[in-house]
Amino acid sequence: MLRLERVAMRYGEGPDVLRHVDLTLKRGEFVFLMGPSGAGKTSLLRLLALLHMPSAGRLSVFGEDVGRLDQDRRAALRRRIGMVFQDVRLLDHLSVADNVALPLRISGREDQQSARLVSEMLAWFGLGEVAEAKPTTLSMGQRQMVNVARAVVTRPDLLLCDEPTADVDGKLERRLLHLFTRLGKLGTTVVLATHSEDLVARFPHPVLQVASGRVSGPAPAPSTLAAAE
Amino acid sequence: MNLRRFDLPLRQSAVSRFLPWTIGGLLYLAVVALAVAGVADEALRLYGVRTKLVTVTLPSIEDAGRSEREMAAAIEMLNATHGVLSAVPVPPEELQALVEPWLGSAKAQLDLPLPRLIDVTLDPGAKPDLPALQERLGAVIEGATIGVEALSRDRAERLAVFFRGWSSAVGIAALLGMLALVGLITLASLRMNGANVELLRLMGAQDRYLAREFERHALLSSLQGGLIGFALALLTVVGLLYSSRRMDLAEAIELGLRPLDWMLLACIPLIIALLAMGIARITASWGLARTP
Repeated sequence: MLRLERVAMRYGEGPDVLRHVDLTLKRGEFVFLMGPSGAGKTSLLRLLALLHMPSAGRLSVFGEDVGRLDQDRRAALRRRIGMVFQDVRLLDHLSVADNVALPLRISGREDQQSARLVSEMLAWFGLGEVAEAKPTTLSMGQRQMVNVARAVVTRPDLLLCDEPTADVDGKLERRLLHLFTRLGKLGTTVVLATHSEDLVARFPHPVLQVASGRVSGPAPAPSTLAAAE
Repeated sequence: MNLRRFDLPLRQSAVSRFLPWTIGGLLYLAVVALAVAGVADEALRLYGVRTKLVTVTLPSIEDAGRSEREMAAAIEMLNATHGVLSAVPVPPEELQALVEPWLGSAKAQLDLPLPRLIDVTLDPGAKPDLPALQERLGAVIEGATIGVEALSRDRAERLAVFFRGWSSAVGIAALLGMLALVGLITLASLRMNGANVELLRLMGAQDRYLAREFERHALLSSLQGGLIGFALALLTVVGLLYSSRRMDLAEAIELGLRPLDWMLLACIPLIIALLAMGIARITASWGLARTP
């Protein structure tokens, strides 16, 4: 599903922000990505989202070596990836429903099918009543739900989440984590970057540690270790 | 599919909102300038058809021998002038017949001196320099003149040539400026939307998909601004033609545009919209290819 072999990455001509990363993730696997600020978590997510190319090593996504792919093929792979941004990044000129429908429109789904999927998704998130509202009129929690709904509306094969629970309350945090876990069980590989040790302690998923551009793990979930002890 | 809905906020940025109005203004200028060029061209065509005959007048003199020599010199000079097809002296009997309605039989009794006239046929395509010819004639035969109407028509023709050249240049410059502006605004919009472009790319948008957003925006802006500019330009052109006729500016001819010119002017907004669309697409594709 995902394979990184001795991968390094840098921005432009700058120093490597990721170094010697070896990692394999299978279909349906759910891992947390932990580490201090500036350790390289977001860079690793951007690399996995194919927004950047490795400066060294080999990256395979869905069995394809991305270094050998042209732009169109990389765009096709990205349509199988959902990304939840820490800074939400909604398009304020579009309605909530249009924001959620964006990935469907880009992948060329029919309008009717898109409308049905968006409607289901908004209902699930409890956003049905604000479907036609502009994102600027929503609360931070609602905006984050739209952000997540947009990332999962296509039922992606790979879901990348960058601090998705940083600005939401405990109830919504649990709800989002249950959704991600459920998606994992349905076959979506989930990589979730977080600072929250509490979150990692409550949900039993393996943890990848990122420090100074190096990735170690995955280590077993802390809750699993506690149970073993 | 909603053609007015854009995934990128292209209609929201100040620089893009400005586009339809700029296109409208420049298209207005271009259409008025090209219409003036068309009117000038049509005027030249009409002058070309009508400017065939001018009359050269030599003052009356008593000395028959000198009169004959001057007439021969004038005819020789006229025949040697580029654009003159023929120069024929008007016979004295014909001249007397011309003045008879005013003087009646008194002319014969008074024996008034009559000027000597030469009918000159011009080649419509050759456009001889009549003021220069008058100057040369005057140097050889004192007091020789060319018909006032022919001279004023010659000035009008020069004016028409001037307007045709400059108006065409202004019109074409406005159209080219408009297309350059579309390219620059597309590039500026692309830079301003860098984060949104990355967002859509992350969702799997290909550069073709993104370039189509800019292309569609340029098409709609050009049509919107272009049609408003064209409608106002049309009103201006009709107003100019109407007032020129009321004021009888062109005297011998009626200023106007040929049906083909009207049709070509009507095509301008559509052609510009299509060109703007193409330029936006090329510029956006070029810019996207350079965006990591």
